[in-house]
Amino acid sequence: MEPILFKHTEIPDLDRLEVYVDHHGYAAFRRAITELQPQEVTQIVSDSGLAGRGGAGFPTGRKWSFIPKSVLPTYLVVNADESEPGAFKDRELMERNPHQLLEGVAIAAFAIGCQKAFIYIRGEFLYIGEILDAAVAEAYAAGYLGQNVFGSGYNIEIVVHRGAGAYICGEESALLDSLEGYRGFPRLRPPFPAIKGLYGQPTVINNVETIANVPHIVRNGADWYRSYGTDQSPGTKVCSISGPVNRPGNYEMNMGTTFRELLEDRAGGMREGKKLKAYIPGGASAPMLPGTEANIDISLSYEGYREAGSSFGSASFIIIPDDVCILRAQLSLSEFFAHESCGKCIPCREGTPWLAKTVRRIESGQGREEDLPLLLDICDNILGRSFCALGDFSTSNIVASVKYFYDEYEEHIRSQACPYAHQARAVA
Amino acid sequence: MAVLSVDALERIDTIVQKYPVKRSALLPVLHVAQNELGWVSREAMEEVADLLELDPDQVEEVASFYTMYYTDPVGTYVLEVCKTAPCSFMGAHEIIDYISETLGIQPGETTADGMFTLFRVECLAACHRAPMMQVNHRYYQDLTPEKVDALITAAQQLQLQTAAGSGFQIRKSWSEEVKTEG
Amino acid sequence: MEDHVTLRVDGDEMQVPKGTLLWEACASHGIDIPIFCYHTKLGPVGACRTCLVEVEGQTKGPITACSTPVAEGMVVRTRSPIVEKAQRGILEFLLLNHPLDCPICDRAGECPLQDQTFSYGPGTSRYIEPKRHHVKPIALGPTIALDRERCVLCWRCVRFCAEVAEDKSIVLLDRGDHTMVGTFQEKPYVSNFSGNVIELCPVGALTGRKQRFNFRPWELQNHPSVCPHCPMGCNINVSVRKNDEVIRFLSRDNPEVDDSWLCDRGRFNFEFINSPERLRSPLIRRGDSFEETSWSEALEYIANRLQSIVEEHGPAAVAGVASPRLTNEDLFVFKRFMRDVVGTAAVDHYPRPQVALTSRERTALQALDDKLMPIADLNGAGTIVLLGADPSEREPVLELRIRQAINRHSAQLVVVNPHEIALSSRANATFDYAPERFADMCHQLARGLLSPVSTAATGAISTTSEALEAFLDRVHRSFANGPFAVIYDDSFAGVIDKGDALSAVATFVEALQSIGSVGTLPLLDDCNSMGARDLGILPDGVDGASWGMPFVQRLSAPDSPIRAALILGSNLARDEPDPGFAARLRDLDLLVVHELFLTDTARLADVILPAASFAEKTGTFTNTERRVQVITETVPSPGIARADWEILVDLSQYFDQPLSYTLPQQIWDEIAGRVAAYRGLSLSKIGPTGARPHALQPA
Repeated sequence: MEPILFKHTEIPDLDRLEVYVDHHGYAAFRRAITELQPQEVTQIVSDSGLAGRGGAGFPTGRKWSFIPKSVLPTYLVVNADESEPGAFKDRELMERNPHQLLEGVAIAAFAIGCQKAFIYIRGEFLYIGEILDAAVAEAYAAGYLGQNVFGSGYNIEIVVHRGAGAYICGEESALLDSLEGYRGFPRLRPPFPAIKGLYGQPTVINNVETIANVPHIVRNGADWYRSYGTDQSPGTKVCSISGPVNRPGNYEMNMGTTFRELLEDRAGGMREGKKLKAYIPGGASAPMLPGTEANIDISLSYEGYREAGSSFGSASFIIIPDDVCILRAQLSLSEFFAHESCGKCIPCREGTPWLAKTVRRIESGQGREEDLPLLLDICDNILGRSFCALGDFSTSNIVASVKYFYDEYEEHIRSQACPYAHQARAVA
Repeated sequence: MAVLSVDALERIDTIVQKYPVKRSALLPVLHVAQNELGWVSREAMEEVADLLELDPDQVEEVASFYTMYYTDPVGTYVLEVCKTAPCSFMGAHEIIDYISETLGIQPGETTADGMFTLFRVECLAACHRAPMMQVNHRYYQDLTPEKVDALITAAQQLQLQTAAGSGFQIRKSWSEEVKTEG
Repeated sequence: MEDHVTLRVDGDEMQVPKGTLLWEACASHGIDIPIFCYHTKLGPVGACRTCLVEVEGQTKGPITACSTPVAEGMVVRTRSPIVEKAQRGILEFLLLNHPLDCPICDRAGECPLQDQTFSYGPGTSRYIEPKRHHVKPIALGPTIALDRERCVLCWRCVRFCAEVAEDKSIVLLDRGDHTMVGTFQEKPYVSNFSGNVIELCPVGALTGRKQRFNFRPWELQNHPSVCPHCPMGCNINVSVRKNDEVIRFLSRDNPEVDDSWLCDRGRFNFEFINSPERLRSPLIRRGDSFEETSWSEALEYIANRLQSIVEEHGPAAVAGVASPRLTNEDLFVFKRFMRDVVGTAAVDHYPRPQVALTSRERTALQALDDKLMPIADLNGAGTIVLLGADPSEREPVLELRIRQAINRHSAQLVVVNPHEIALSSRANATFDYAPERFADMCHQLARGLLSPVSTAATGAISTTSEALEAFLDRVHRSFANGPFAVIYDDSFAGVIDKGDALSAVATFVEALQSIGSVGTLPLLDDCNSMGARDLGILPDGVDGASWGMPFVQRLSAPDSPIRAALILGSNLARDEPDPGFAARLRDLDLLVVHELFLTDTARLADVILPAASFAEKTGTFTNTERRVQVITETVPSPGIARADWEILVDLSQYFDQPLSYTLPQQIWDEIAGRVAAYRGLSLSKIGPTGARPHALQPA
């Protein structure tokens, strides 16, 4: 398969503007603003079947079409707050091919009538910010961004905005609050961002990978894009794989290929001496799956993982090896969510630390028989009760790990000790 | 009391120009202030509030929410080791222990000479290069005890070389020197 | 009903206006849904998740009633296994880190957390992990103590500071389960409105430092009344312990007046009622000291002296001054006593008026009064003009009403004041001037408004801010949006000719009227200043007996005819700047003072009569918008103190034409029958939140 998004793996120095331009760079943007109407661009993207690559998988063209035509200004905000444990794909897309993103931003902005777009990168991406800033400056200087681009009369400005350390800002409405200079609290909906988003104006928020697809779709057409992937999940997906595999990293996969191909062919299989105990397919918020042969053969697609009772999410594959205690793995995840709860709503603020403390107590050999039903009931009281999805996310792996590794929980409680005490620590 | 330099104020001015609403510049402006002072002090928050036409209360409300702003003083080098699941499977806690023993401080503490602060932090989106840490918000990946030793030695040598210089310069030049690693 | 929707809640159909929040719809039909973060006056945030209800067709589970608007055909369940489980779950979460120290908590007994846990919560907690701890309590500021362990982080206090008072003092710090409320670097929380956060707090986290550990709520009875500390007339509940001690004032929501807020000056100023310094019996002068005496002895003495002075010098030698803190009933009886019993028209109220008005000025006052607007109409104003008026100083809760009009109803604000005021920062345009040139400034503005193309003379009116032309230009742009609300301070501080200033305001208002409709609101002195005017407690009284000159001027004149004076609650000896004025009072043949305390003025008296405070009598006050509101007796008077009107009725028994009132209701009935401003406003029309006579008349 020829990569769509990961051409940088084949073309050296693609992060440099002249190299990018030599490889059709900014041609799609030129075509869009000189030959197409904004709604035609939206239509092409709708037809391509491109869906949000941040995790939710919402159809991108439809999202753009919600923007009212008569309200100005409108805003495009790129969600580059990549903070989901296991996810590191947007980082590579921005680092190795920044102009691909900028061109996508410019096209998407044109489609929704936006003249000022923001790229919200997570605060820790200091050097990514520097790369993007430099790329933006280059593009301005070359006339690909700024006033009256390509003599079309169209203006587009891109601002790279750094967050400051908060997973919750990956939630799109919290991201808007953060971008406006507030604590990253998710907002009440309605109104939805498409009606009242940034500064109360109509706003589209798209993930980096989603936007990076746009130049290719506009240049090659919807049908071309649909030649990749499955009917329900067209295109490719950049999959991150981490943990004790031989070649951890990002791989652009045709949708519909199997996890086995990712794990064994691309990532080179498990490291010597390690066996696959379980894996998380869609970042920390997606339920883990035991490393059975059937689960290794799941197709890389939204529908594939939905059917398996998990979620494709951001396609961030975390490999849990057999020498790691499942409670320690769970504790690490639970402590993550407790740390990242914004504190706005009660179930998440109070429930996530309770889950973490309870898992820690069981892991350290002080579990009680009633703790397992308790854990599940706390999850039940958070799930669907919290303000935003972070609360829900905090429950998914508790439920999954208790379901698939009930014996391991039981063993901790029965022996009042961690059977993996001599193995990988995985917790503080 | 003004604590920001003319250079910082100029950078802030440029940042503020980018936004249609002044308050939007709050996060980036706090980064500028912290970069200059090493942390976000009371005076810094007051000055930032003044620059952005906010109340200091609104600035602290925001600064205290985000983990990257240090609202207490930290060492010249802040070592933040990722401890989230993928890193933890790859030995993050062993690296934290190693740094802790080498520097003689627990996570959350600063060495007596004010050189190093150690924190455990959550996922930094570098799971494939685990274990990893950020030092003054620059990434250092695929960590081993040897690499940690080399980083600490490099920092100490720089400290000796530029003993006459300001902490800010040490911080910057050290980052430049070992940047290729990231 | 096109503007209504029909929905079904727990099987019962209800009709409510479109846009109503589901929680409000249920509350209006007596259906209780527990809440913490939601507050009717603050708007929804959906954070606490306590008000989860089931709505048919919602696939994602229960939703928050506080943030969901009603919809046609909605089917809602507020009591179902799913809802009940959700409520138990949320309350269990809320209590995880709560100290459960109800036995020593001031809020216990009137605590929403306690009540809702009993109604909706689990009986026990399954939490065995260590609880969160904080240093506690800490002084958040001079008035408020904070217990962070009790706090459930509903952030009502934070939102009050951000949205209502806009002082942004209390904020959220840190995040996740470390979140806490606090101030910038522990800076003291100082605000004119701090006490409101005590009432907003749904737990015992924020308590009044004055009242901590002073009472248990179940010892208290709440009596509806009206705050006596300014003319705004905010509604209150007076909390009384064991029927004789006032413990606190609470707000009592009157959406027309206070919208449920109180200022600290009102809220915390109740201790005078219980003070041991209160006068408990009549005092009669014996040389340089006073001696306790009985009512009969005191009144007989006063009557004899008054009668002999009238015989010798005529009734005009007797004058009376009443405080505008007295009730309408006190004032009405006072006026009748002076006119009908003693036979003099020499009445006045103090503080104010200090000047006699010319007929032109009286016409101006009438013109302004004709446009008197309801406070709540500020929400419909396009532009609010503060003309030499600072509500924050005079009627603080009016500041909150103005902020509300700006924030929720998009009113513009123009501040014309000699110096910066609290509301200046919210103004669309500001203009300052030298205080003594107030009238000139009004006239110039009026001219400028009438001839927009800058024919207004530019002068040195503005001292520091922009030039008049630039200001007018901006004002013209702002003023494109009527209706207008003009708020002026009719004490005209710093102005020499106050009558002229009044005319100037009328001229300005008239000019403004050429652009759009105008309503006016004066800032007055005391809780019943409006009543004192309406009842004609004025030197140029209503019945044509034109005495003209205010009491202070009259008594200060070298040829003053006054030989005897009755002073009801006015502290002239303290408040008059002329140091010789006290001597004039002392030189009177007879000085009678009704008072709560041994004030500077009372010390000059021949007889001091102990008066009941507002909390010890029943009657009415008329607020700044001419709303008549009822106060009721909540505690007994100290000793044998009596209401002013009762004292005067008793005193009148020693005269030829005694007064015969026995109940305050009788007095009001007579006011409603005889006083033009209140004609037809019977007590039955006044009700618990008062009534405005203007509202009764067809527009």
